[in-house]
Amino acid sequence: MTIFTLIYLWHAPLGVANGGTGYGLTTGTVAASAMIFLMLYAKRKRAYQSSIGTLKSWLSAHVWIGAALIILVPLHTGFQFNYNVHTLSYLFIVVTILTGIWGVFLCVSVPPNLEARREGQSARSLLTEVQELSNQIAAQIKNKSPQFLQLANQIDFTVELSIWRILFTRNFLPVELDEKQIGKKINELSTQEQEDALKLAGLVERKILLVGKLYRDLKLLALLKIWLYIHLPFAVGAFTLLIIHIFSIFYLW
Amino acid sequence: MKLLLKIERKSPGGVSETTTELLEGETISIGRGAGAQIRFRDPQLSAVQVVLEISSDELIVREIGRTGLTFINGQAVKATAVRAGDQIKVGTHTVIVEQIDGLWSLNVDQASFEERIDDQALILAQLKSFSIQEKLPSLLTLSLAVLFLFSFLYFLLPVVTEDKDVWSSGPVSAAHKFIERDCQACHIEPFKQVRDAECAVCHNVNNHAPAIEKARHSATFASQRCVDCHQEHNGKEGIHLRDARSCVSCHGDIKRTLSESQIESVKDFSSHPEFRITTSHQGEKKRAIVGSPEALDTTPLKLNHALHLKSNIRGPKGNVTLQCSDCHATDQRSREIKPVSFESNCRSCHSLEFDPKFPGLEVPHGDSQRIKEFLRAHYSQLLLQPEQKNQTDELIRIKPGMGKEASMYNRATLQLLDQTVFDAEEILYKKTGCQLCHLADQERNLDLNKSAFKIQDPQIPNTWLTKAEFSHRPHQHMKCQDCHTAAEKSEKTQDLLLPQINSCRDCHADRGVKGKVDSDCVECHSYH
Repeated sequence: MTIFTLIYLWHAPLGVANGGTGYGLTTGTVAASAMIFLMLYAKRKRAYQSSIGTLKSWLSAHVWIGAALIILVPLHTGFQFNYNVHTLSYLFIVVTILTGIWGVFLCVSVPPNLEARREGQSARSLLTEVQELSNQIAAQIKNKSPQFLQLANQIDFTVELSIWRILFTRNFLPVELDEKQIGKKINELSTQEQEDALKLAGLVERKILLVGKLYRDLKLLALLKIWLYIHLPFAVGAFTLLIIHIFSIFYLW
Repeated sequence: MKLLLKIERKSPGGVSETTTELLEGETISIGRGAGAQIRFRDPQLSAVQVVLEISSDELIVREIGRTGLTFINGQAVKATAVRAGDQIKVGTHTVIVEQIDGLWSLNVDQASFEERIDDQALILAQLKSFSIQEKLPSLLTLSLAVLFLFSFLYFLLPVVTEDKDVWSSGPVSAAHKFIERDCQACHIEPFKQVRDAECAVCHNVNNHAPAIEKARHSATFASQRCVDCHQEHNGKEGIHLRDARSCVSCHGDIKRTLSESQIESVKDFSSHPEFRITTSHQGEKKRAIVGSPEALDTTPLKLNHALHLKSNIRGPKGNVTLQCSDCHATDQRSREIKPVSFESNCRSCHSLEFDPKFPGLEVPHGDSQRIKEFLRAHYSQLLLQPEQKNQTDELIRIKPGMGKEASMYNRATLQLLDQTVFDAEEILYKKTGCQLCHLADQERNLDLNKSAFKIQDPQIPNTWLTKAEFSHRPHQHMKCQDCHTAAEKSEKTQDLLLPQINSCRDCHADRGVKGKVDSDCVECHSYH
């Protein structure tokens, strides 16, 4: 890349720098070959029996060659950007590369951050525990006074079964808990129910903790997949546009 | 309290089956949560939405969850007693109240109930709803969608329709803007490079073209196309190649490209040879280096710049001091120096009077034949108008009854007229008027109707440096003397008052020199 950049600075074509000069065509060919190589990674990834390099080294090459395109392509174009299919192709390349870098970052940073995993719990076992808690809470509510039920309604919550909710929740806090107010409400209950209410509050507290953990982990797990949902369609878009770019350039030679 | 729950299940065949369940408790609750005795699958409900209680034989419905979700017979309620036959609507579910033998019962449709799924299946279902894959189309679908969309928008549409704008590799130059959207104006055939013929549709390539023809045998020009230099789609500046290298590739060593060339090699502005003027003398073109003794203004005119630029010289209306611009005026529109003309620049001081007896009467400037005709007309009138006699005393007048003598007088009169006109001409061409500035030739002339005098054509060249294009316009804020230094001291017409190249170098230099104007070849020269 450094060599290409240095050559760009040294090379001064007649007229305006563009993709049609000797240098432009060379860098263009190199960049197009790099794009083909990058797309081949998808194939190599699934070819478990392949012995053409280890998958690890393929991934490394995929990352570095991909990142190099962010500079190589502008060198190819002579830093000319306009409203056309060619610049659109570069835009898609840039988005692909950025999401790729994001993906690398996630793959490195997410697994150690999976809190529940660290404690030997899977999302499934967490959910089972939450379910159990819900059942216990339900048992606590049975045959209680309306005041007790009102309190239970106020502090208990249902787990929102939505990935979007999980993705856009920063700090999980399902209900507004005003301790003073709750304490006051508990005091208003009959002495027998007061004990149950405190037990209920303990259960709910534990439920909040568990669901919060579940949300955080599920969010991270979702992010691990989401980056690819941007990366791959944009990569396919960039590649499609690359082929259209080459075709159109020679069509209107 | 006790409450009978009747759950009706309707089979697709229309047969209905009812199961009953007796609920007991202080109160009976309806809601979404696990704690409710009657659980409805409706996400908008609270965990416990409604509490039912019996007080003095009345069934009371109390909404304790989110408000506005409980209706009795269509009326939103907070807490009210219900009767048999009433419809309680909780969220989207409807319950019908009945009373059988004093026992309250509720009729509910089976579909309203949360299905009794075991915990494992529930968890799996929940985990599924947390999964991003469930919410998005598959990666393959997304990728194919992008592929087809782009292929349609940016491939199929431009190929099929005329509008290929989206393929344009960049904005075209200002001159070609009007055909920017018409790709086929230049790109006639797909996959074929633009040919010179397409340029020639509008452009008449000349001037330098003969030189190219001569040099066709050299490798440089053998396959040269217009577009090799005039690159389009590179924005405003692209079309004109300002790069000196394209010129220097030949002119750096011109003899190698064209051995018979008479011009000197040049690499850049700093190595540019001294200017050479082109003069045309009697049809013969000559070139001379500015500053050399051969570089003279050979114009057959007499002009003393030093005399004209002296302060307080005598003018017709008193003393004046002339400025350069009094004679070399600037055109208001083009900001270029206008050619000097007698009418606008000389006449105000230099009169063309021809006879002291007629002060203020001037001959026309220009053609000598016209001057002669003017003089003839003037003196003929004098002869024919007797009332002017005080001025024609010396002329012979024809009196009535002169008969034979009259024709003799006539001839004498004509002779006198010719002589008078000739005398006036001679004074103009040799002593006053014309001779001040012009050189005149006198021919022996037998045809008395034609003037014997002939002014030598001044042949003032439009430009001295014919191979370059100098414009006064960008230099208009300078003083004339900054470049034309010798003007104030020049006494001879032949002094060439043109600046030498070093004078230009005060401000102009090769590209990249700080504080000087970047001066590539095209600053002064053009190719075609």
